[in-house]
Amino acid sequence: MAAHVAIDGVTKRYSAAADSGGVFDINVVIPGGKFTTLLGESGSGKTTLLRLLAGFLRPSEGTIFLGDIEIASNKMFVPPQARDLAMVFQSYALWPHMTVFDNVAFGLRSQKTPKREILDRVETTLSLVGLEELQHRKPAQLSGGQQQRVALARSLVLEPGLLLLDEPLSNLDADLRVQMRDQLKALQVRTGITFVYVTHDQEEAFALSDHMIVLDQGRILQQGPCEEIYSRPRSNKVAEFMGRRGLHLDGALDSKSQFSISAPSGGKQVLGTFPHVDNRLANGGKATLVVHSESLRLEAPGATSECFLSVPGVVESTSFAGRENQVVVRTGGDHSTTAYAPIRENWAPGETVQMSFRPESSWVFPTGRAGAGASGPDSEPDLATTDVADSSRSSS
Amino acid sequence: MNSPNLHGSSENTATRRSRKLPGTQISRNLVWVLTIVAIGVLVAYPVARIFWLAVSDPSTGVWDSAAFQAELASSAMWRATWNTFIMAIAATALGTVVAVPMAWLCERSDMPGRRVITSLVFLTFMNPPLLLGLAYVMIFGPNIGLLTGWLQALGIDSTIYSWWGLIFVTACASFAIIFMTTSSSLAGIDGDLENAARAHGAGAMSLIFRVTLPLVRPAIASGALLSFVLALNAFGVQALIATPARISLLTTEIYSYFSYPVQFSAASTQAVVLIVISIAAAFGANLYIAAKTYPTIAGKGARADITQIPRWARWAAFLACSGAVGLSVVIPMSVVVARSFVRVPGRGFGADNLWLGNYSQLFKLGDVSGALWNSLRYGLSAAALMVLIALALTYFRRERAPGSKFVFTIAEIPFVVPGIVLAIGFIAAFSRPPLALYGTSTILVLVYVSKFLPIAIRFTDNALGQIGSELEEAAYAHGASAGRTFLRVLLPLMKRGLTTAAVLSFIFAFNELSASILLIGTGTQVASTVLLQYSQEGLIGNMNAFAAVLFGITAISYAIVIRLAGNSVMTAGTN
Amino acid sequence: MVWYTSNATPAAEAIGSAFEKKYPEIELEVFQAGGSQVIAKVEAEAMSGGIKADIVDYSEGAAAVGQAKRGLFQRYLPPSAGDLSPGLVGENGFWFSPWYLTSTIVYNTDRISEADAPKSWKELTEPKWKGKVGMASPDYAGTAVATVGIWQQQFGDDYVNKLGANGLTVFEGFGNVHESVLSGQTPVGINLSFRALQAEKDGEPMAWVTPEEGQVLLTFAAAITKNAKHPNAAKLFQNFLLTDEIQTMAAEDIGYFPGMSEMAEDTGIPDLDKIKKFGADLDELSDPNFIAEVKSNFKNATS
Repeated sequence: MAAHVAIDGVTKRYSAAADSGGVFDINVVIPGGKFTTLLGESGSGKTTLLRLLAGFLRPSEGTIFLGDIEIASNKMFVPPQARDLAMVFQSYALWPHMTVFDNVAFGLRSQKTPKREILDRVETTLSLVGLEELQHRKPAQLSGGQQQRVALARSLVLEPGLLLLDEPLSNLDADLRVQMRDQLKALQVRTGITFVYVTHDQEEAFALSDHMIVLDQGRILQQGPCEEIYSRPRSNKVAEFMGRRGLHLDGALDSKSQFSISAPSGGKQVLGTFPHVDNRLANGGKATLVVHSESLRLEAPGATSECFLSVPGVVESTSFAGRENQVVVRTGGDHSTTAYAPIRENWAPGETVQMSFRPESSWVFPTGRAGAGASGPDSEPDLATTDVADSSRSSS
Repeated sequence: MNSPNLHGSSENTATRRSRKLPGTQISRNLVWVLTIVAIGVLVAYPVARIFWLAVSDPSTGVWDSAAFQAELASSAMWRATWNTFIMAIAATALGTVVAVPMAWLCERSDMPGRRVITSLVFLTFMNPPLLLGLAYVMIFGPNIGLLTGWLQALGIDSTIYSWWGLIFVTACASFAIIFMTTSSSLAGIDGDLENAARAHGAGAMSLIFRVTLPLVRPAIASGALLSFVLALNAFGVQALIATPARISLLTTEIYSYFSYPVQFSAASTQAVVLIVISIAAAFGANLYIAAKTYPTIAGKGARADITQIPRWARWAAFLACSGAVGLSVVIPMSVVVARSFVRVPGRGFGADNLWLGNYSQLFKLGDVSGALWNSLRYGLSAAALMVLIALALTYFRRERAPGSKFVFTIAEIPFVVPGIVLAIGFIAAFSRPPLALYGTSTILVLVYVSKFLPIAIRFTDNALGQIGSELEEAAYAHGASAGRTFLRVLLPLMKRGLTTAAVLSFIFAFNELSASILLIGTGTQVASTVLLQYSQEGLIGNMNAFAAVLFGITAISYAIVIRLAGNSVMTAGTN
Repeated sequence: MVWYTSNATPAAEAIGSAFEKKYPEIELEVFQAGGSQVIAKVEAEAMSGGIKADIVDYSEGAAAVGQAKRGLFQRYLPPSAGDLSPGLVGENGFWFSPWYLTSTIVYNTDRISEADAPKSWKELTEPKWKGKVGMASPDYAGTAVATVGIWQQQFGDDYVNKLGANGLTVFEGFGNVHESVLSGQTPVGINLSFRALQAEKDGEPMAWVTPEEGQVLLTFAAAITKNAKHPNAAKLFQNFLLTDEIQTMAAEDIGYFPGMSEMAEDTGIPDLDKIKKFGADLDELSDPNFIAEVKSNFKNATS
């Protein structure tokens, strides 16, 4: 049965130095049977968290449960080989001196599974990933994509309670990546194994996950289903992640909830009031206005519309991105925003432009890095818990 | 909610795996403890005895630093120290200057005869240095050396018994080591690193000096350090040449302290000085190496291209390389073999002066076959033990077992201890029950293990280091125990490196001389001491005959190893 | 029975096999090495647990004197020891010399005629022989220590200095000297009597000279160790050394001067009594401090 993972107050410190990496106060339940992604930049702690789950690292504080079994804490530690999991590595880590078959069979042999069963299961899994013809080859004779599938098969054949994947697609070329992405998702649905997947690519995370955990500097910023994180980010940083370098405008919120920015000529320019304002700005203060790139529309200056608010800027560069034009716009100060315009619109560098958006598609947060897991404008209960509660209630 | 798994059954997989964990933990800890004990017995204890000898009265065992202080104050000792240092540095420098271009030519260019040259360099290395020295005395000795006349015609009024002779012979032995480490590093360079330079317009020379050379600098430094330390501690051939040359060296001084009246403390003091210098050199070199080491395997790891050199240069290079191996092994051994058929030395090679008697006498004189057999046996046992211990040490250091770094460092010490002093340490450590090993073959094997373990470690460590940690982690992540991971993943991937380690350990043990001198007993003579004996007794014909036999054995073992493990076994894993 | 000997290999071989032939039930284990090495080994063993040998012999008797004083040997003299020439029996009977050796001047007959050959020790310091003389190092060869020490006792400190200044080449062992003389590297050498005699016998182009001042008489010493495990076999061996058979063999085959004085006439060896020689003040020679001084003087002179 697919196991859920409970991480309870886990901290991993590498050293006393403040910037030595690690993760801090992680509290999360990863739902069983789902595809969960750990999303973050490099250095965010996502790999550390994965390795804590795998058992290559011991937590400095806190407890980790796999299913109902305690696997790591202050007092005890179950090494990786005794945990009911398997892992796919970024570099695939196929054993070069063994054939594809032997690579895949390795885990089963370690469990002393009878030969007949090994043969059976390995062949089934290999055909699942489409590699049954290549079982006698050595890894060096395979392409990148094939190697990746061997790594996958090696883990899947064990039917583990938990499958950990460490950016397994990052070494593949773009086309293959998308293909494999689809395959991975399909495999997860088919096998029902709990997948925990690490990536820094937000698009990939959206495509694959049921559930997402956003990490930054070792802490969880937000977790929940993808749409929720996308449309209801709880902090500046999360929004930044989701928004593909959208609009981040620094300004101030006054006590009447009016957001204003400093006008180029001095003084203030009031942009208006916004529906989604973080709780912590109840009394006003320094605030940042955040809008996802996808929600920005480019217009000539002066165009107004009922439902839209605008922010002025100057075009920095334009590039052709296949199905649209990618336009980089500079707003007041140093900030560059990326917006997308239909092909037929030609925006030239140096042109003054106006970025418009619906107020409902924006958020106002306290300026700077808001604490992880800060309570958002709508204090919702932790969605993740609800999911698990649901699944465990209906499990047999 | 039951998720259908791959086979449709719905067992509870969370508890399927139950590992017998405590068992494997215990046996693993046991192995580690045994390793620590081995290092303690083989290294820490004898070396500690040596240090103690320096500052105590040997007959009473009481602290007495008078001898220690007197020795440190003696200018004769410092002169010997200075001489030794100069000799080692000069020989290493000469060796480097010769070895590096040769390594490049053999490994990375299209010079003709590369394989032959490489094999000959290894033969140099596998030969006991004493053979080399003896041969050179014949060729370049004063008054009547075969080629001394030529030298004098060239205006060089000097013979082999001089500084240049000493440095030259020492360099002959050491350049092979530098060749090996450099070769192997050159072989491992990612081709892309050089191609990138070419793509930016680098010409051949520029490529070599600005890309290739910097990349292999650590390997060169590593080889140079090894040969420096070996030269510092070398005895056999140094005594042969330095004594008539009136150059006092630390190792010869130490040996002279063992002639009557024996001065253990003074000898140990000098050993302490040698150890300190060696450690300082090793420390400095390792800092340099660490600072300059860049990963040479960047992208996909394609082998680097062969550089073509212009036709005229190709043959010039071949000539130069042939000259080098000619001097280091071909000419000396030819002379040795030729003279092994001579009845009376000095009377030329006329038919009336040639016979096979030197060979037939070998088997009457003392226990030649016994000594050979001993050398073989002890060498093999020592090599096996060394590789096992090295494996354990490198494995546990990788796994960061408690104290592993410390034990690792300790294991490296005997390498910098002169053989004769190490022997004294062993005698002091193992002469009383329960470990009364003196005079047995065991103590010889043990001292070889102690002395050359660092070499086995170096090659084993490299072999293990080349295996990415992910390969190990992948095994654990799929349920394999530490033991199974070691046996099925690590060990098979280390085969080449382990073979190299074993072969090299064997060669060093087989040729060891300075420690053996004091530790051989009745029935435990070894080939190198027999050779020395013949040399000292003036049994010239027999000496040459025996030398020829030893060389034959060396060449045959080399051929066997190459056959078994492939051509590049000697350069495997010395990055 | 375990025998540590500094007899040259052929000599040790010969004596060893003769003994085994006579006493087949006694298993003989031989350790043969240069005098210096044997002494070092004995000292190392004495320091740490006991000497493994039953019998030790040195070509440098002086060491034995010192070791006897330190109680490393047991007292034993073969019954026929009374017939030994005087001076061949150690004080209190801890050791004896079955035979003598001398150090003397040898030269290569192919390269130097008899007329030209050096006639005295003193002559070796003359420009005629600059760079042409070789000898063994006191650091490696016990007999060399004795030789140099006796020179010092006879000629004073300065002799060695002059030799050194005259380009004396110092080799590791006597074997190296031998080779050097034969090959002509150093056509004149200071070597041991029995080697010269052996060379003559083998037809090698080497001859010896009795210098005007005399040959240097060295004392060979053999002793039974105090805690020998096979004292009876050892005693048999010591007796054996003084039998006619061995004395004759020592003289004729090896070239030693036999210790038993009446043997001298029967063999082809020159009669030692008729050779001019001078020997050591053994007490002084056995003093480690004196030895150390001798060695360091030599080192200074030849560096």
